[in-house]
Amino acid sequence: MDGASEVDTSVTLDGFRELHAQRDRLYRAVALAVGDAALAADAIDEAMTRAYTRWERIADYASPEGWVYRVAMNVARSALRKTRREDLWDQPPETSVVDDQPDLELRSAIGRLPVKLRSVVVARYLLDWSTADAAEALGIPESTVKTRLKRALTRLAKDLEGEAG
Amino acid sequence: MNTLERRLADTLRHEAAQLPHEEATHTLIPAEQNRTAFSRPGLVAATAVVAVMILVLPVIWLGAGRRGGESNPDTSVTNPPATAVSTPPAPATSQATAPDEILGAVLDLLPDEFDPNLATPLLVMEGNPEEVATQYLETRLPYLNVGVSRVEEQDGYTLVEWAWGRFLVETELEQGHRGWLLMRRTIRGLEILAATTEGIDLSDLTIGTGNLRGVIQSNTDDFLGADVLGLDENPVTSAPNPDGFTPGSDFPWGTAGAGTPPLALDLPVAEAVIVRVNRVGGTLLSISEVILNQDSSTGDRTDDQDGPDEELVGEGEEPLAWGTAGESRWVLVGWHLSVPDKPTQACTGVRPVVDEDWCTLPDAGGPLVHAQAFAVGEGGVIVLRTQPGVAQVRIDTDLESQVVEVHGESDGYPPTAVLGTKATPVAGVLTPLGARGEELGEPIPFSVTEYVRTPAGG
Repeated sequence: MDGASEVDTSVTLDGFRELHAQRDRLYRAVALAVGDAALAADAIDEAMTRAYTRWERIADYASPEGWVYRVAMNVARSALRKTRREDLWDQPPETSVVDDQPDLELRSAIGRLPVKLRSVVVARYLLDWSTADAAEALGIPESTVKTRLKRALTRLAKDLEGEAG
Repeated sequence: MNTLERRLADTLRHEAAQLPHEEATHTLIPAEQNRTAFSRPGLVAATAVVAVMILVLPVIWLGAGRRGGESNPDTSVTNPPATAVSTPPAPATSQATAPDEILGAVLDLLPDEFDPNLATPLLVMEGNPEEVATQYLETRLPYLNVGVSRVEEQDGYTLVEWAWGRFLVETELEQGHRGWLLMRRTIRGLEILAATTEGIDLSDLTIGTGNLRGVIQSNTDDFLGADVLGLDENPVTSAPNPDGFTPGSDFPWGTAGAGTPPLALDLPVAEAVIVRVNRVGGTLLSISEVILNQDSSTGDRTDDQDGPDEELVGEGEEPLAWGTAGESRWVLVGWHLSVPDKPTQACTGVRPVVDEDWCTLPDAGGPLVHAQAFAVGEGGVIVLRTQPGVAQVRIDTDLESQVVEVHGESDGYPPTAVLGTKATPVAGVLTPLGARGEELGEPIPFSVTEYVRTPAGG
């Protein structure tokens, strides 16, 4: 067999390993965006599964982790639409003696954001993606990402003003 | 980054750190880099392999039709020589075809005019792929111990391999056939879109000219029977030998043509027909089947591309329409929402614009239209939620006036139409119309929201 024509699966799977190393980070991002940790874990696993089975294609994407975030968001939102679930943003915040105390007002305001806005906020401020990267990941124009970020920040600011007043 | 943005980032990081640690549910990279150990279909098949070990193939003698045998088959259809279709699945078949090549291999055996995105289903029922396949195979190959040997998913379709004889279990018998059932999951259940048999090639058949015409090829000498049926399962009036046909009884095959392969068909047909081809040898040995339409468009989709962007469609959702607006692809999806103590609601939403999902209770009355306009990229999509009595909607804008036909009320879909817009301005009024074009209700203004237009030259 001509060795040159063989697929180097070790290289291929090394690439997937790098993506899979991001699983926990992406899981936490999806959980905050959709407000459900268990659902987010299932969604990330589903997205990772899809990425693995299509890795030869996904590997060529500029941002495989963006693709996984987007697919996981779709999977999670699909499940959310079909069932009524408790939102983690509605639950009391977790606190510990070693952590800083949570910003309760802002936490409450974030929980009131629609998922559409929250998914962009999480991509930008938790995953620390640029607006272009977030646009690529979510499959929407960068101008829409900027619009949604602006709307989200405006709503958060108004909510904080309301609570302060 | 301003103060609010810093607070936001800090709060998100704090909340993320508080989330429970969720272990991955899969071992994502097998130690031996064996993909089949990871794939769910592979696991299903592996589990089913164990199940098959207890199945025994009944001894049947089917006269002629052995692969590579002499071409003097017994073409009479006899009484049932063996037991009916068996469940659960019994996979003892080869895994020769790679999972990502199956759909292409199946489509290669079907007419070019067959479009799985738009195909009329042969059977729709609730259940898992094995159950639906078994139900179908019981009706098509009632006298054989046919089983399901493999289930795969590819590009949004479910592919189920059927098999009997030596393809299903280890046996000294040479006899056996196998093929695939192409299925699609919809909000109505699993739809069987086509059945194929390994070695039987229907790709030459065409229906576009008003005649069903073409040559059916086979890679064995087995006798072929071809039926061309209306959707009521009766032979089309132009079938050469419809006399004495009683579906399911004394002459259930070969009404449109019968003989050793290749088998040529040429008969005038109208509208949709079922093309059903069997190998025959003492009984019906295999099944290839598809519905062909003179006009393959189902009318309730505004497709302007080959298929929906699969990443925009969630599990359990059905893509009802899709297209491109501006430079962005969009998909209208439908799903069912179960709410405790309330009727199931039919819902639709547009991806990637995801917040404006609509759900309606069944049997809502009145000739009303609700419109929602979305921006997708630099184009827009208008979704029309209509109610019974509305057959069309007139769309008037400053630039154009057009009528969009409303589809879907008769087959259980939410009565929804979609107009993909590529022009500006995307604003105007909608007027619901009855079947004769009469106006129903009041015109409704609409405009695309969040519309972002790139100025010419800028």
